Amino acid sequence: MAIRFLLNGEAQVVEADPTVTLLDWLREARRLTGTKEGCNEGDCGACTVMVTDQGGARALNACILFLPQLDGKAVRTVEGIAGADGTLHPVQQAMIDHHGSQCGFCTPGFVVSMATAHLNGRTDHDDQLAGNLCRCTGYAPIIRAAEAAADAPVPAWMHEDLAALSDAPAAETPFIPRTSDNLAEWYAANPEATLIAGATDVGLWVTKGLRDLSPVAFLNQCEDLKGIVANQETICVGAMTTLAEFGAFIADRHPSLAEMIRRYGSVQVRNAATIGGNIANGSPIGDSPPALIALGATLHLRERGGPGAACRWRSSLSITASRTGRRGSSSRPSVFRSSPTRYGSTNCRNGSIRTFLPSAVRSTSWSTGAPSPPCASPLAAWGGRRNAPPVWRRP
Amino acid sequence: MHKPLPHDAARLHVTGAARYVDDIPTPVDCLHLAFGLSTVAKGRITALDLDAVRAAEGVVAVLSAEDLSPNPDCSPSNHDEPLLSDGTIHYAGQPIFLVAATSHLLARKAAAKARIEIAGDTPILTIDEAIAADSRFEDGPRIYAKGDVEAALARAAHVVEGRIEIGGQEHFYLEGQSALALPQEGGDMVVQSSSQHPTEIQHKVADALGVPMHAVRVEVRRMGGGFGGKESQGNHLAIACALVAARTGCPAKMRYDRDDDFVVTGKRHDARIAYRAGVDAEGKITGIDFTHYIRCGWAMDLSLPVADRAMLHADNAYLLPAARITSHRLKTNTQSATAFRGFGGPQGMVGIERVMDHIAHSLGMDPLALRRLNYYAPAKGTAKDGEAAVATPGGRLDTADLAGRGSVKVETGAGHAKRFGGAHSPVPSVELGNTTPYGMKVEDFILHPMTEALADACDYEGRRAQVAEWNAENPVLKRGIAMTPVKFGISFTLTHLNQAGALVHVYQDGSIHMNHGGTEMGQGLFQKVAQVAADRFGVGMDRVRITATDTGKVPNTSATAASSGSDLNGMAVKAACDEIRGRIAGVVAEELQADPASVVFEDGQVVAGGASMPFDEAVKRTYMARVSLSATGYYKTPKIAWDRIKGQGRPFFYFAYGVACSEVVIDTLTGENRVLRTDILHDAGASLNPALDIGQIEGGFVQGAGWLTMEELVWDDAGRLRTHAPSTYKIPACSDRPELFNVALWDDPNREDTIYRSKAVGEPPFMLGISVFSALGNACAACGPQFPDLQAPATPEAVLAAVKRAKGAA
Repeated sequence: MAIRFLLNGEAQVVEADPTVTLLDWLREARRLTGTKEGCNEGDCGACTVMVTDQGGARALNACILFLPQLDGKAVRTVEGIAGADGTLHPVQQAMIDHHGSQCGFCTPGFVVSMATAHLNGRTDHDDQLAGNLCRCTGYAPIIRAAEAAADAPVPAWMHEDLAALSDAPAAETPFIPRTSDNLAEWYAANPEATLIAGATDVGLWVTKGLRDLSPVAFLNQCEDLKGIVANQETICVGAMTTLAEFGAFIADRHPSLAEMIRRYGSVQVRNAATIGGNIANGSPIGDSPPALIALGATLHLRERGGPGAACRWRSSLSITASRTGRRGSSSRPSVFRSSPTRYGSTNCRNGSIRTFLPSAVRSTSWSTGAPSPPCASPLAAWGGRRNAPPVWRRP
Repeated sequence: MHKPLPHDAARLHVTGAARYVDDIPTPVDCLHLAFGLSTVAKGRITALDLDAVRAAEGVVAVLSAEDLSPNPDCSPSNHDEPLLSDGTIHYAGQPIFLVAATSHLLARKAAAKARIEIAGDTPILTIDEAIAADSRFEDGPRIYAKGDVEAALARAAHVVEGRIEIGGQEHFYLEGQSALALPQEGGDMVVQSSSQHPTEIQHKVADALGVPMHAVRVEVRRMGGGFGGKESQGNHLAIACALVAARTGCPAKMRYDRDDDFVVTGKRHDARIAYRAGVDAEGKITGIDFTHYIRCGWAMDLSLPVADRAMLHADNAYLLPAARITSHRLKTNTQSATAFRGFGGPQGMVGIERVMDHIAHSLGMDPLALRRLNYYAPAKGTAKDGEAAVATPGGRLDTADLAGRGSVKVETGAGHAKRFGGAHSPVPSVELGNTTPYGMKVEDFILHPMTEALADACDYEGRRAQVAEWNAENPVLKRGIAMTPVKFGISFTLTHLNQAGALVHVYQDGSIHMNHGGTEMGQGLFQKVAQVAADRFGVGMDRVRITATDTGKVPNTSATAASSGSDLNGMAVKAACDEIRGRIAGVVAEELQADPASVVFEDGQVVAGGASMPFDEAVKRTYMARVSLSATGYYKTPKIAWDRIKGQGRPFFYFAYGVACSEVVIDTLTGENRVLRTDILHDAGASLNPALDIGQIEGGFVQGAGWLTMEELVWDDAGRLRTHAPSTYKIPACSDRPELFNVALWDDPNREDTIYRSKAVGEPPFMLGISVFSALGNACAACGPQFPDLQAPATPEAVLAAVKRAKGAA
C-alpha cells in the first residue's frame, strides 16, 4: 500500500516493502546520495534527516527508519537544507567558514542535525550533536560553526514543511493502525507479527540481523498510545511516548531521571525510541527499565477481549514480570505492552504506564554517584557535557 | 600561498553533493557484492555448501576459492593474502566466498545462508601465546642498537623497569571500504576505489585479471576518511569487483557493512613495550633497553615497516646515549594489522613517554623538567636555536583569520622568554653526539623553544601547583596535568616510495587543470597543492581545476601516506608548473623583448621589463607560438639513505615537532575521566594553509587521545572481535574533546628545502594525544605513593586499576 509523505517539499506516494529503510530508499530508489550510510545501526548520525510532523521537527537516523513511519510527515534531507535558489543555510555557510568539514562524509548528517537544532532554537550543541560522529576534525570547528550560526535567523524555507503538513492526506491502513482498538484487532488476527514503534532496535533486526519481519505493524500513529497525563500523585505515560518527549516532560519533576535519559543514545535515537518499545524489546542493556523498576512503575497491558466485547486493559502488571525473557518472549501473542511507566496506581487512561511521582527519590548525581565536591568542580561540567555512551544493541 | 582557505570541496560537503564511491551513479545492471566470512579463527574448511546462497533471491554469481584459478593475492607486501580462503582459516572474519547479487542487501542476505563447516584448531591470539609458540614474521627479532646498554644500565644511579600494554585502534573512517569496477572493451577495467593507494589497486587488479597494468585505470576523487586504513585494505574489494565485472560483463560494486569492515580489515597494531631505563643522579638517561612486541595478525601486510617505525620513534625527543630496541613481530590468528596514522610511531613514542613518567615518579621530579633535561640538543643556525627562544608570530599568518577559527596564537613576547641552559634545564651538548639510536644526526631540533613557549603560554608551572592543591583537598576527583613532546620523522622508510609525479595542463583560455598522485581523504591535500599551482602562475584559485587522482594521468604513484602528500605532490606540481611557466616566459619575453629570467607571474599578469599582459593573453600567445602548455613534474626526496636491516642511516628528510599540555580529571570511584584543557603548539614549518593544518592538529589530537583513552578492541577467547560497530566500539564524540582547546602553529620555516618550507602535518599531531594519557597517569599517581602503571587504553576500568595500584592495593 502507498505511503505518503513530503520529501524536501515534494509530495511522495511510495509503494514499497514496509521494511525498506528511508536511507536505502533515498540512496537507491531516488539517488539522493547526500545522506550517507556510516554504521547502518543508528549510532553515527551520517544518515541524519529532519522529520517534521504536527509535533515539530526532529532529527532522526534514516538508516533505521522504515518508510511507513513517515506516513503523513515531511522529510528533509541534506539536499533540502539549502534554499531552492542554492542559498546556503546559515549552518552550511558556518561549516565552510569554520572549516567544519574535512573528509566530508559525516558532514551532511551534521548539517541536518545542526539545521534542525537551529530551527528548534537549541544551543546546547554538545547534546544536539552527540549523535553525530566525526573522525577527522576533533569536533572543535564544528562546534564553532554551530555557535557562529546560532544567532542567524531561520531561513524561510525551513518553515515550509510544517506549513505544508496540514494538507498531507492521512493514510488509513491496517498495518498502520490509528487507535489501539484497531491495533488490538489486527494483532489478534496476526499474532506472529512484529510490532514496530521507533525501530531503534527493530531496525537492526533488518539492517544487521537481515531478518524478514513480515507481517509488521507500525504503532507510531496510534494516537491513544501517545501522550503523558500527570496529576499530583501519578504520571501516566503512553507507550508510544518517545524518550525525548518523556525526558522533556520529566525534567522539572525529576531532574535526575531526565539526566539519565539525556545519556540514553543520542538525540536521533531519543527522538525515535519509545518507552513502550524499550520495555517490550527487553534489550539486555536495559536503559529505562532499571530506573522504572526502581521507581515502582506499573505496566498496563491489554489484549483483545472476547467476541464482541470491548478491548480491556489488564491492570497493574508489575514491570518486572514482563522482563522474564528477552524481546517480548514472555508475552503471549495478542498481548501487547501498551504503555509505560506509572509511579503509583490511580486511574490511568488506557494505554499507559503509571508511576508515582518520585518525591522520595532524591536527585543525585548520575554521572558519578559520588558525593559532590565542595566547589565548582569538573563534575558539574561532567553532568552537562559528557556524552552518553552509545546504546548497546546486538543484532 | 600560506592562506587559510577552506577545503576545496567544503561547499560540496555541506550540501551533500560531494560524491564518494557509493554515490557514483551506476548502470542499472550493476551487481553488488558481499563476502561470506569465517566465524572461526583457525582451522580447515571441511565442508562448504553454497547451494542456499546460489538459490537466494537476487543472486547472480557465487565464487569460492575453487572457482578462482589462480586465487588472487591481496597482500601489499608478501603475497600471503589470498582473496578467498584456500581452505585454511587464519582469522575470524576471513573471506571464504563471494556473492554477487542485484542489491547490496540481497547480497548480504544471501551470504548469510551459507553452510560452512570448519575443523577448528587452537588459535594463537595474544602476544603471550605468540611468544610461547614463537609465531612471528622474520626469523627473529630485529634489533637497533647504539652504545653499550648493559654498561650504561650498570653505571646508572637509578634503574626503572616495567612494561606497558598498548591497545590497537579501529580506523573508523566514516565511509567504509568500497570499490566499483566498470568493465571496458577489450578486457580493460576502470576501477573507482576508496583508496589511499590507486597504483596499488591498479597493480593488484591487473594481477588478478592477468592483464598488464595499462589495461587497468583507477580513479579516486575522495575518500570519506582514510587514516592509513585505506592504504592496503581496499585491495580485496577492488579485486573482487574487477573479477566479477570481468566474468559477468556487468559493473560490480562492493562496500562493507560497518560490522564487516570491523571484522575483516586490519587495525592499528596493539603492542607491549617492556623497558629497563637507567638515569644518573640528576635524571639524565644513561641508557635504555626496549623490547617491542608487536601483534601483527595473520598476514604480513605493512607490519614490518610499521614495527620499524615504532623502533625509529623509541627515542622520541630524547637523546639516548645508549639504547637497544628489540622488536618482535608476532603472527597471530587475528585481523592483519595495518597502517594507521603514525604507522607504529605512536606505539614507540608511548613507550619512551611511559619511561619518562616512570623515572620522574621514581625520582620525585616534575615530569616536564625531566623531559626537557633529556631533550636532544637544539638546532644550530636558525633564529630559534634554543637561546632565548621567542615564538614570534610570523608575517605570513593572518592572525585575524585564525582568530576566526577560535584558535589562539601563542603570545610570548621577549619579556616572557626565559633563557635556556640554566640549572633548571641544561641543554645537552651537541659534541656528545646528537644522534638517534639509528645513527641519524638530529639537526633541526626546535623543541626547547617550543616547550618553553607553550609552558609559558599555558602556565604549566602555575597549573601544576593548582592541580596539586586541588588533589590535596579532593578525595574523590583527582586532576592530572602533563606536557609531552612529539618529534616525528618525515619520509617513507622504504626509500623508493619517496617520489611523486604530477601532470599540469594550461588550456587556451588560461584555465589550469592539475593532477598528481596524491589522494584526498579530507586532509585538504588538493587545496594545498592547488594553492601551489595558483601561486606559480600568479593567478587566482578559481583558475585551477582540481581533478580526481587517476592512474592514467600520473603513473607509479606512492600511497598518500607517511604524511608525505603535500611534500611530495606539492613539489611535483611545482616542477610541472615551473616547466610551463618557463615556456610561457620564453614566449612573452620574446614578444616584449625582455630577458626570460626577468619574467614575473603575479596578480593574474605576466610581467616582463616594463610591460605586462594578462595571464590568459600570455597563454594564448604561447599556444599560437606552437609551444606546449602541458607538462609533467617529478620529485624525489633528497638526502635520505636508510638500511633497515642494519638500522643505520638517515631514514628521514626532516622531523616535525609538536608539544601538548593536557589537564584531566578522573573520578576515583568510577574511573570516568575527561579532558579539561589542552594547549598545543605544533610545527608545520611555514604552513601552506594554516586553517587546514590546524584542522589536522585538532583532529589528530582527538584521534590520538581517543586511541589511548576510550577506544578499546576486545576479542573473545575464540578470537572473534566483539567490538564490531559504534554500538560496541567508542570513538570520541563531540563532548569528548577538551573543554578548553587551544591550538597554535609554531611558525618557523623548515630548514630543509620543502615545498615553500612547509612541513608535513598529517600524522605528527596524532601523538600529541599522548599528553592526555600521561596526564591521566599523573592523576592516578595523586591517589597514592606507588607508580600507577596505567595501561592503554585508559578506559574507566584501566583507570580504576591504576588508582588501586597507586594506593598500593594488590
